[in-house]
Amino acid sequence: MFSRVLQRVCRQSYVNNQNVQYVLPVCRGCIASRFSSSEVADGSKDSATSPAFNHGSESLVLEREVACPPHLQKPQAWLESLETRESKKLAIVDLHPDVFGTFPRLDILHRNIEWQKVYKIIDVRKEKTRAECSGGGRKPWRQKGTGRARHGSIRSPIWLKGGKAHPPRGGRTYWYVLPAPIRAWGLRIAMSIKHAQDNLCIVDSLDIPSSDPQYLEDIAKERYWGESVLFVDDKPLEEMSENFMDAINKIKTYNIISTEGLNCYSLLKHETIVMTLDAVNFLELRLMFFTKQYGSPDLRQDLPILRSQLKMDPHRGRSYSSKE
Amino acid sequence: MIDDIRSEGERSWVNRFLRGSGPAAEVEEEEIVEIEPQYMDLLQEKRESFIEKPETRKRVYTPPEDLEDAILEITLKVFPELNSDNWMSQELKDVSTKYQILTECFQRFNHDVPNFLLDKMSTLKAVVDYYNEPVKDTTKFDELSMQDLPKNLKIHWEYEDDSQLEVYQEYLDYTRVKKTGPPSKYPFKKTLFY
Repeated sequence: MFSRVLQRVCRQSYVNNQNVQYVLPVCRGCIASRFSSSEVADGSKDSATSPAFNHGSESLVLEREVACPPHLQKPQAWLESLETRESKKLAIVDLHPDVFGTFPRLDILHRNIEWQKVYKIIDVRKEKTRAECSGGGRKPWRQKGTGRARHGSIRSPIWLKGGKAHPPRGGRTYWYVLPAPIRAWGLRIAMSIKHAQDNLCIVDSLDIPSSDPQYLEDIAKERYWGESVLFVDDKPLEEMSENFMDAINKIKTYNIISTEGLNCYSLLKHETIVMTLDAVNFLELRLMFFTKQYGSPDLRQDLPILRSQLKMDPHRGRSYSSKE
Repeated sequence: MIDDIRSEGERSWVNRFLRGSGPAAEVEEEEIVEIEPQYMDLLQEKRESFIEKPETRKRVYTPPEDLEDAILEITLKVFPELNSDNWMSQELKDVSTKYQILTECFQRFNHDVPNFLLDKMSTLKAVVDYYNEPVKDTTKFDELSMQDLPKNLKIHWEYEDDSQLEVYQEYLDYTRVKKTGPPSKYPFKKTLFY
């Protein structure tokens, strides 16, 4: 048994003077993992922990740095492992409060799910106008003298079996794009809800020892997961481990998704969400981006130009020196 | 089924139409002695455990008697400088110490702190309070049935919502046949929140 050395990699996001670009806000996301040999940058610290208990050679005490104001209370979660049938806790990780602890705005969630349901619909119903109905070219009776109402054709909309006045005309789309900040907000809300309802499980990686689907079911029973489980990883589907994919393919209610395809509907449809730490790191970066940008697209386009060419920043005053 | 117990005259005409009124009078049948159960007297049996599938999606946990001593023992290994008077007010700010204490508690008591409560475990008192709460997978009625109840208190197990007309229910069963698929292998009951 031996104790692992803690490594924290700090990524400085402010770049050199010449090329000031608008970059993502400061996020010193901790990338330390058992398998990475990360470079130790300037602001890193080695703190060797000698734990009082030895929970196995694979236990790693991870201190995850979250880019949020320090006074906020951060939600926490266990970092678990899928390598053994018994549930094994590797660490406690801090999570970003605006990603895993937002207020549950159900109206935003509803907007997301409605959008997902509706935007793909192509309605191909087609009905005939009065011109397309067969017949109806002749005036049925003369204008005056018969005592009946005046009509010009037997296929006008007020007639039985006549054409429709404003019919559906084939391909009608219900396509629209929900703004990206609202979509990101919906994801944040869905993940906060899953965390609050004890349906979120964070895992170091999705490698399992055997491709037997019974192994995954035993794991789920041991850890009291729900009937349907969604596994989320940061890699594209082609790079995911084969053992895992073989096992997943045989179970109907267990599904895997990449962070690229993560959506509110899937998050709510599956009872339990199992996320890797890489996915959590990526999601915190990417989803918080939308909270920190200007709302209007004009400002978003103008800001990098203001900063780079005119050396003006609305936050810091009219102009600032390039010493930043 | 209650339909078998009822006599021919009491069954509704729909039921007789669908399921038949029984064998002809010429056929010799064994005499079936029917016992009419009283209204509230159905299935009053004392059971040891009534659980087909557990109600909760959590591991059953009963707090041990020496809980505080055990947790004190664990904390003294992590915080050796503590004295046993005010050890409960020790704060768990550092993630590494919190991890060590809570994983050791998990291994000892076989009961883990869920994710949404982890940041509430700020002091050791919170940990002790959490581990003092038991987790049961029985409903109130199960517990009641295991006790000795007074004679005029009976549990009506097969209660069903009888607000709809029986005839209407039979009509629905006939017209809209329910397809029951294979039973799910999920080991817990499907509840919204445990």
